[in-house]
Amino acid sequence: MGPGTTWGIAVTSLETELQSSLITEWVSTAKSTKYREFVAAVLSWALHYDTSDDEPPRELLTGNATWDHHYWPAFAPFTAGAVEAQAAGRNPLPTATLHSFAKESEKPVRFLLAWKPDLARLYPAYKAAADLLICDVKAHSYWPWRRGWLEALRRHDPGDRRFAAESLITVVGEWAATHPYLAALRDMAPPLPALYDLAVICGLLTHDVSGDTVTFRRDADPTTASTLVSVATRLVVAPPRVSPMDALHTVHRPLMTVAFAAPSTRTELIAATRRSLARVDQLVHLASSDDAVAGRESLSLVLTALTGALRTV
Amino acid sequence: MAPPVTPGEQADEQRIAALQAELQTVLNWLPMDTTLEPLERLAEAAREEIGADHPVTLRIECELEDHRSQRRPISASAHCWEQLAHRAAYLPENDLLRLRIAAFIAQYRRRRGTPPDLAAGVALYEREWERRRALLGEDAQATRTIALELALAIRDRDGDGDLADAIARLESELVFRQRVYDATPFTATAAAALAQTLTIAAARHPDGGTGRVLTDRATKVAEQAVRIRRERFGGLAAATLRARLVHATAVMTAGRADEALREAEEVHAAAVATDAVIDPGWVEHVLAEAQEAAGCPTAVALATAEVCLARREARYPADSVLVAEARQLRDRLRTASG
Repeated sequence: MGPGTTWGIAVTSLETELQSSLITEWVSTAKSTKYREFVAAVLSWALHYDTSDDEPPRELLTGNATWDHHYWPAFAPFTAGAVEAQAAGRNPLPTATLHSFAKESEKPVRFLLAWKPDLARLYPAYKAAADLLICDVKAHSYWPWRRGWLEALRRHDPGDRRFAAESLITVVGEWAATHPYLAALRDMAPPLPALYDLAVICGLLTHDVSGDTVTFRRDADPTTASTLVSVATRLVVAPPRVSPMDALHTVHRPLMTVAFAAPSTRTELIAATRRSLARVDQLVHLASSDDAVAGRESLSLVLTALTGALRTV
Repeated sequence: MAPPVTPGEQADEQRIAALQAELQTVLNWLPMDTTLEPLERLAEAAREEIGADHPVTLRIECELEDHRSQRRPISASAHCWEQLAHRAAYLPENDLLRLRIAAFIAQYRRRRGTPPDLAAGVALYEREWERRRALLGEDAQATRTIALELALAIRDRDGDGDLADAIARLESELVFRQRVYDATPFTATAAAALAQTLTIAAARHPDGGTGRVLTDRATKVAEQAVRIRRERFGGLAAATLRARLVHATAVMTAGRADEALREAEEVHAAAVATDAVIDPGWVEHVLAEAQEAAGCPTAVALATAEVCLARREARYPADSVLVAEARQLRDRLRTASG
């Protein structure tokens, strides 16, 4: 049986699949303690600038292509703004240290990409050391969000992979709204774990249980999927700054087409039918109780209504 | 310089992020269930772990309150929103959560629906709209959301020239949303609001060309709302059913009673089967009017109107416009049935 056929089992295995994926391994083990401390330090700078009044977001959030010129100081050593940042006394670490760490950042990501070349298709933005560092910081920042998302998936078992894809978009959107500067860097490049998860959910890539082979489905289109996440992020971060839910609405149709090649309202239809069946269940109890006549009448009404309603969909 | 981050603080930050992510996931899930248990559990966890006054806790409770408010008497909600506003009062005045709570206060004041409430609703929304324009800009989504609510508040106040003013505002809102948001639910909201308002205007011109022009346009705009929501949420979703009620009313006002009745019956069936969250009594009101217009036995329409009145009385204050409207319909049908 394919995913989404046996509801409870399918979603449990999806959550488990995501928990045990290659990306989990990468983020949680593939780096030295020292390097992870460094990324955490950069992240704390990012958080500071996301919430401080030093640079008003509106100045940045113009929706044009000049994001990268507005680096916050922690990233400055990797850009032309290094000298200015140091002159302004805003550089927390010596440039040389940052460069050596950047080399270390390169290692795990390059290693990952060399090991699983197909993964590079998820994230075409790797060019310079700064790209790798930004990628790492985004991943590190997104990690607790992913944990909350997986926890909610585990708990609520909605029974459809589409739901996992939809909620992933709103979670990334809320992450971006919380960290607009960080999210905007590198043309809204999404956190790599989110892209990897989306690819797993949509069945764009397959890996065997040991994780030793990761390959994209032949007809998979991971670039489009990753662009959709970027588009949603931009809608949340830049004007008109929509809610994460509205960002999802905007990319919903292409997301469903890219990811599932199927009608977009299946999740909702399933949900509505399940809701109706829950009512039927209540009414069956009522129909076999003392107030049997009223219960049966209601039951008959709901069943007729459900049949009629399904026909009109 | 860099804020010092202690390990404990960082763990806290991570837990807060996880709670926000859970909230977003649960918000996707809520429309699929009739219970608010997931949101209640999340609010409980947030209160326990990061404190009742943490902004993220308040944010979760705001969502919870929004959903609770859709399912209980209107007058009970006003108090709850005031309380939440009180708890959030320590946040900066321009905080988005505070703005949001203020908008809910305006909404539940307006929806109480007695004439003084309707007047107060306009004043509250005007203030919110001005605040958001100054803070977020004219075209930010949060500002546009309030612009639409303000137009509806003006319509419902229904003073001299209010209806025409509301139509003009909704027309320009729909144009803007079509341009920026294309065929998404945000646009559908404006389309449904405009169609409903045009239909109200059309009903005041029962004869002649003006009424015809208005109902034609109302029907087309309502179709647009139905199409967008059906495509995004499916035919059984409450949002789609609400748009279809607007459409059925427009069609009925255009004099196509049989068509309106068929649609009202379908919506009623779907709403009953899925226990859809639709403003209590609305489905029954449209259905009873359609039954009357299509020449169903008066007893049938009267029975529907009785249900409508009972549901509105449970939701709205006795002196509200909506209860008065339901009572009027019931009384008229009762007289007709002898």
